[in-house]
Amino acid sequence: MKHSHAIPLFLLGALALGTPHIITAGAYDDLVGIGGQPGNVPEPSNPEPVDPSSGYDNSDNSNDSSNTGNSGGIFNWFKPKPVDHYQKAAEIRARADRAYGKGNYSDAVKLYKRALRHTPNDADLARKLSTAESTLAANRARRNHERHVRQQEREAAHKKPLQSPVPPLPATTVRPKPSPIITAVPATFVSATQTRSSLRDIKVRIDVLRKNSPTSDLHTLDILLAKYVNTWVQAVSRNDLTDKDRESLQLEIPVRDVDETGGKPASISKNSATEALAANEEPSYGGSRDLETMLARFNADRAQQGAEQLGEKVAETIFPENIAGKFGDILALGKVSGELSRDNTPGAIKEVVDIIIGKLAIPQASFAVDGGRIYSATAFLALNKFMEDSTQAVGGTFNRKEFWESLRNQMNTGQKAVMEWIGGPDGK
Amino acid sequence: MENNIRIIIYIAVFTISLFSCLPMVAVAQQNDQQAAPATPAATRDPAPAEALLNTTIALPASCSIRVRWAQPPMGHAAAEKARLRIPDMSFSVDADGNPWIGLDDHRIVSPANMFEAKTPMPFTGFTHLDSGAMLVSTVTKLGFLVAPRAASDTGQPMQVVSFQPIAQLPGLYGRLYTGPADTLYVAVTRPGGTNDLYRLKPGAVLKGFEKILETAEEIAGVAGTDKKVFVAIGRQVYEISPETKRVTPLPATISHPITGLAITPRNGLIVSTSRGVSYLINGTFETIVETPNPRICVRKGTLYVFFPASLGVAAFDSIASLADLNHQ
Repeated sequence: MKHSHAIPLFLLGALALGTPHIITAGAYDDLVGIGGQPGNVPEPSNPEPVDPSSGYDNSDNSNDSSNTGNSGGIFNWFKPKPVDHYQKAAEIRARADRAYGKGNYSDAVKLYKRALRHTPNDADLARKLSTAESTLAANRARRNHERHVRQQEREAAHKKPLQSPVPPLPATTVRPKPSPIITAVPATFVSATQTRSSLRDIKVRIDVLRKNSPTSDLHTLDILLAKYVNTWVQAVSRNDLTDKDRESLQLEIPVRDVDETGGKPASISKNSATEALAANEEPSYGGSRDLETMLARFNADRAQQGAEQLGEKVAETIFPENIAGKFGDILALGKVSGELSRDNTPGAIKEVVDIIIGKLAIPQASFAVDGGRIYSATAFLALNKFMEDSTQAVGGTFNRKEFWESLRNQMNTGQKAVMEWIGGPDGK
Repeated sequence: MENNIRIIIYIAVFTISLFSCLPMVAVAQQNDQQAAPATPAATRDPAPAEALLNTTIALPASCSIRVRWAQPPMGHAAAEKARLRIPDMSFSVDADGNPWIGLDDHRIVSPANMFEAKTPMPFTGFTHLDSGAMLVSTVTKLGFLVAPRAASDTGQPMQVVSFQPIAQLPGLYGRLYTGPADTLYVAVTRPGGTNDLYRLKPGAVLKGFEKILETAEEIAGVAGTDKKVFVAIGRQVYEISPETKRVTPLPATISHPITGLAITPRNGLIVSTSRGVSYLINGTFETIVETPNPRICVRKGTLYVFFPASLGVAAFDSIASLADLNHQ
């Protein structure tokens, strides 16, 4: 009797299995119950509650679905697809959880995403994915920050030798501990910028020392001044500086518009200068008028003679032996007598002075060699080549390399003189 | 009779040949003169000499001054071809007595030192100290020239030297003048048009620019002694005492604006004007050189007069002997 009822039910069940998608879950469960419980089915790992709104009614068949897993019963051959999705999702989620636990957030995110492909409506999976993604992002940000910090530390480690060897400025407050030893040894040249910074530091210390104790610590002041100048000299004496470097190495020299007592300098007002000019509109030559008049007359006479127009060709005038050749390269033309007053007051006694009037003769031969120095009247005919021309004119060969070497030595000598002029300890 | 005729013919032939050969000998002599590297005493040649144009010298016969060329001038033709810009020229003499000429605001030459170079920026003046230092001013800076970087030796005819600034000037358009014991005077113009004179003492440069004069007019020349500073403005020379800050105009005036001022070892004042060079004797300026636009510099008892039209520099040794006239 019992079997008589079972046969039609079996047939109905077989039909239902042929169209599983049409059959409801409840009917299917009934059929499973008829077929009996399969044996040795493993428990699914980490059963998770499913959102009731997920579309799958798992309230009471989650275990049943697993019971219909891998073995047992003929109905297992017709295992429905959704069951595999859950299991697959569960397996993948388990792997994702392990990856997350190991801190492998990137893999965890990937696995959670894969799991969600099987159970896209799994809110818990979605939450876990979100958590893993945020953890991964935070982890990446932290790593980037650590990398940046390490990079900065490396750069700082590289820059350390470039830092100024000059000790830091002393605090304005007096410290009980001994002051650092100051030497006049110049700061090591690293770059023009670094030297400029060092110079500023030393200058500030000098100014502080001058301001705080202008007379009590002259020794330290001397040393600092020497250090300041030496550091600067060492830097500007280099031959590899660019114009920009040299510009940056300019010293900071103060401008004192008032003296040490606060007094203003001497002044010539516009009025006094203008008055002086106005008074001199009709200049009174005083004693010099005679000589200027004589010179003007003398030259006028010569102009009348046409000498000027003839290119100033003149012959040396015969003079008394006591003055002939006395004045060197002057072509003496004549002698006039001038009156010189003892002072600039009217009626003063005047002295009669013999004045030799002459012309400066251009040397007929253009070249004169004196101790290796070359004088050339044609030196400026072609300014760009005059060194070569001048040297060749006296039988030599101009060597530009030697010239520049000589020039460099010469300029270095002049440079040293400038350094001495700028001064050090004596220039307190 | 025949012998007499023969003698006459011989004499005639000899005479003709003599006259025909003379020009050749003269040309040969002239060529020899040009070819030979001549002696410095060429001016003693009795033949007519070419004299410097528009220049007359007037020296008291009793003075022991000797005149020589520190730098021979160009010939007249060469000077015309050179097309020199005379107003832009600068002049100074170094401690060895060698002239330095600024041809414009970039080129500096010193034939005696075999120096020719361009500056990387326009300069407004330069001067030499007794110690051998050469200082250069630009519109805003005080500095000096240094040898160019090795890489810049490109074989160009005129190299560009480097300029090392020492300090920023207190004003614009610095003009440099040297005083006693390598004291440096720096005249600058303020943006408002006023002019200031500052002093930098050797070895105490770091102490700063010390202002010693304010004036409304442009400063044309500065010279100094240990206690006094002389400043030329317009046609007047002022005596300034930096300690007492007293300004005293000298009673002597001159007929043309002063362009330069120098002082001899015996504290005699020499001025240059647009028309010549004059010396202060007994309170009046006496002309000793009449020439257009000369520049002057006194170094170790010698007055150097630069003639910009020909680039020649004449040295007047023992110029301080002019002071003897004060006692005549």
